[in-house]
Amino acid sequence: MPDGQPMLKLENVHTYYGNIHALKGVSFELQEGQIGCLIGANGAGKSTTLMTISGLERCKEGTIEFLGKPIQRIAPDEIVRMGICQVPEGRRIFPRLTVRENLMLGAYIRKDKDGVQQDLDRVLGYFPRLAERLSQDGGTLSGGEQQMLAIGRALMSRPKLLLLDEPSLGLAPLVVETIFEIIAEIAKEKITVLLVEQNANAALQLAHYGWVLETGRIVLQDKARALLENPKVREAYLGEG
Amino acid sequence: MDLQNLFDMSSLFLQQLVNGLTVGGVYALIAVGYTMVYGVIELINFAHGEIYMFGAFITFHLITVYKVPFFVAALVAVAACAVIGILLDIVAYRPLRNAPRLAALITAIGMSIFFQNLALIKWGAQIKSYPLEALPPFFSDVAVRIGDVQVTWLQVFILATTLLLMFALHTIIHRTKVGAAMRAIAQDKRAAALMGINVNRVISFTFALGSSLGAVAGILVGVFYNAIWPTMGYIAGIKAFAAAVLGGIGSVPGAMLGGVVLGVAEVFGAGYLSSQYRDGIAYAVMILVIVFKPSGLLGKAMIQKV
Repeated sequence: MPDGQPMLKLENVHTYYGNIHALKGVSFELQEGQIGCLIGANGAGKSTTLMTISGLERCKEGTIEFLGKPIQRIAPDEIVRMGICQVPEGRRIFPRLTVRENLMLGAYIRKDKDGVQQDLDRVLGYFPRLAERLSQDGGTLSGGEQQMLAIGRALMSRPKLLLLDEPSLGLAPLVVETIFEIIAEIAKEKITVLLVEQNANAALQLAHYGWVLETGRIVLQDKARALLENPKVREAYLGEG
Repeated sequence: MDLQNLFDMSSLFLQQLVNGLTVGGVYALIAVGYTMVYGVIELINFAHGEIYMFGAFITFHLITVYKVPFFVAALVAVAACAVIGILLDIVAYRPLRNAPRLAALITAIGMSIFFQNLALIKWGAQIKSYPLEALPPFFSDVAVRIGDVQVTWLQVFILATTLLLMFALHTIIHRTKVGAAMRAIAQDKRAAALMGINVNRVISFTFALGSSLGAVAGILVGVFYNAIWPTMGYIAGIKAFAAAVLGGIGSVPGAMLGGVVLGVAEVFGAGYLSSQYRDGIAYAVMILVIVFKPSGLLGKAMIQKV
């Protein structure tokens, strides 16, 4: 076990959608500065896990601790203020706001104008394509650009922990590569990343640690390298065997 | 046709236009309240017309019972209506946020009836008017006279107030943080929450803003026609709603435009056809829009990419 307090700790988290028991006691810990990766099939509960951490879904049982503080009963906007920001599945950018307005909404919780400007420059450094399109409506961007915008928007809140839900979904392979490179770079800046992916191969190569989720339960967890070698994982999630 | 006749006709036209713009501006003020609330929570707030009525009546109450000067009374009434709007949302609509939309719609109609009856109990069914001595005396003076066309200071005041408020509203929506949050919520509530926006607080702000404008409209109309009654919000509300639909529900510039167009159409219809058609015109306009351009004049089709 790594030492120190984990950045994020889920313990026995149960979440329901109506009568559907989506998370059946999920527990894991993510250390500061690391990239953690949740893999699993459609409907395994990956997005539900992220939404429960962000407070948009409520767990019925269990605890979620962020830097030692329980957050499972805290309002979603407070959770963002504490330093957790999510890039939701499907990007969910605001299509009828300009790229600049989208990015500035990412900084909604912040009052330090100079810092926000710095971060805007930093984000546009990551994604030069966005710099060219600042005054365009978000909805006019291509899928890959929208994903860049969604990630850039989340970074504008200057998060300590970044939750990424399927950043590669529906994107061309070349664009996926760019996105993963950027994620690696974000992680170098001491932002902890929790990544959810169906593209298990790319995700596990990037991550330090991985968890395999099946029908609401974590069935396997290990260092990412080890998971990549694991025959069960290779068969079920890497399309081999 | 001789020259005098032509002159009479054009001055009649001009007079109608000024009257139409005055009425239309007021419709626009009410209509933006419908459209903003619809934008953020997809609900037709049928009790909005009653907020308009409360604006007129609270001002009346303050003037007649507490002898408060007109402008002070109006400001207090607008603030009170902002609070009523926030409470309306918290008490009646917020518990139904995730319920089927029909439930919220019926609740809105229920709140409308409730408010009407509250006013009936408090102020009675009779038409009331503002005591003339309480109103600023310059209101009834003529500001501009061109031939037979007369524009009173009151009309100038109404037009100026409307324009100023529309400009202020546009600035709030497009130049402030809370305005950006409102637009974000209108497009994607959950994504907005993920940005750290306190969605309920912004919705409250939206209700306060819409209710304030509605209250201003109620006061202006109360002074303009010098008549207020507890069900006055019903017909005004329907017309403003028609204006919002005409402009494209959810679109603020659309509501402004729809209000003005409807006001002008109504006054011209009443002037050139028959004043009996006055109220019918709003419905005719609404039906035509729904048949031929359901998204309204400025309503936007959604852009979505997968």
